[in-house]
Amino acid sequence: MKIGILNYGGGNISNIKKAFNTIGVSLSVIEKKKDISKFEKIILPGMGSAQHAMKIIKQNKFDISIRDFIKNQNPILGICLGFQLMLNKYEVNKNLKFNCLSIVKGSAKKINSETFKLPLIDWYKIESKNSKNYLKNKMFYFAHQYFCDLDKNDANSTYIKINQNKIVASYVKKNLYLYQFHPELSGDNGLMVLNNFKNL
Amino acid sequence: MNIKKKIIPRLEIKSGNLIKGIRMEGLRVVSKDLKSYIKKYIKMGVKEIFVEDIVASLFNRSIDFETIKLISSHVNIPLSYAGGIKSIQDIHKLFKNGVDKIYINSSLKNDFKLLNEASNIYGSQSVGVLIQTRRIFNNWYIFFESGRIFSNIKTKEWISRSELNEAGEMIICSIMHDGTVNGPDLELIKFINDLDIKIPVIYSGGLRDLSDVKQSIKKNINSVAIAHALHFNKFE
Repeated sequence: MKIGILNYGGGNISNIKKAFNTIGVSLSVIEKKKDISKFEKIILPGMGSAQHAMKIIKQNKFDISIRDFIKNQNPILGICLGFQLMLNKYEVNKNLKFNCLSIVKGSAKKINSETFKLPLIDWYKIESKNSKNYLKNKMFYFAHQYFCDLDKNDANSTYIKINQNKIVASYVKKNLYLYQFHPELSGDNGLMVLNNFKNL
Repeated sequence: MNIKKKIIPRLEIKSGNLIKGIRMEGLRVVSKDLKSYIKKYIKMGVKEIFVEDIVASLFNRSIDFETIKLISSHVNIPLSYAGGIKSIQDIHKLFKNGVDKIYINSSLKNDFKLLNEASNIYGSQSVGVLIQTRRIFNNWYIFFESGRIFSNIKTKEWISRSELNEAGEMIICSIMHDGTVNGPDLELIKFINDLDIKIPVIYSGGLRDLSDVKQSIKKNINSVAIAHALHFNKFE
């Protein structure tokens, strides 16, 4: 099976590759847009600044190829920043906003935290309205300060709760597998998430 | 609160060995088998693995990427690193070799350019500062190069400058409590908690056991880094 990981700067490609290696998958790094269609599944990695990542995506015209890839019903895994970039818009602050890939309705916004510290760099327990969701009550590692403010509160999404603030942790729908946390850094729980993506 | 997820094992390394000193001096080899310590800590359920090359800046050595790569191959939780980071090229190479988060100290002596630059590329959640501090009369001061170089910069001022320059996290080490295993530096902890710090703080120095961990985590301090007490099984 061929899974590719998109390189748009940012940090954690090597660790995503390492995590997939432990479950027997060798990822190829995608540097050119024409290569995206060669893969059955692709990964949008996380960590890094959104502005920098979006700039590289636009420069390389990855955006068009990503949209085509998704239209063709191919599975896509978005991790942290890779999830946030799927939204319509990124609001860095009041004066700095830019468009993203517009695949999921919503925008990435700075977490409103009066009672806790940012960035979130910690393990949190996943909550979900859906008792059958396999992520529920498991702990995963988060490292971010912007969150996905989804337009629709989908039953397929999970969240974490910090002092009554709900922050979206995952959004899984059709061929989209989007996680705010880092499965590649979440020990055995994380490997389970990656394994599920592998077995699709 | 899952207390184990507040603990960060701090593995000081030199030439591929696990080492530990007292008050950042008199470094001794704890073990040549780094791997088994890492495995033990991951099994314990800790928050992340923190590797510090404590002599890289002091002896002006380059970063030991081979050891870092080896460590990374055994880690499936976050891996953070400090020691001898001098340039953005060093930082690129660290992330390529499996590090998820870096802490800078000695290279910020003259300016915060490197911190700013790294944070703009990798995001502030992956870039922080390491602070080595000691009280002299009534003020806390910053030290560089493993506590050897006195900077004459007040820690309070340094902390706010770090925040302004996009640090996403800070490890604050008590030089006088490092490796002593005689309990956390309560004066330093009080000093930290009296400040207005917006980013997460990791405290390190002197912790003995779980009750020290619980006592240290409050207000500004989100987690603790522990070396000696973990390496010598004080937590079992």
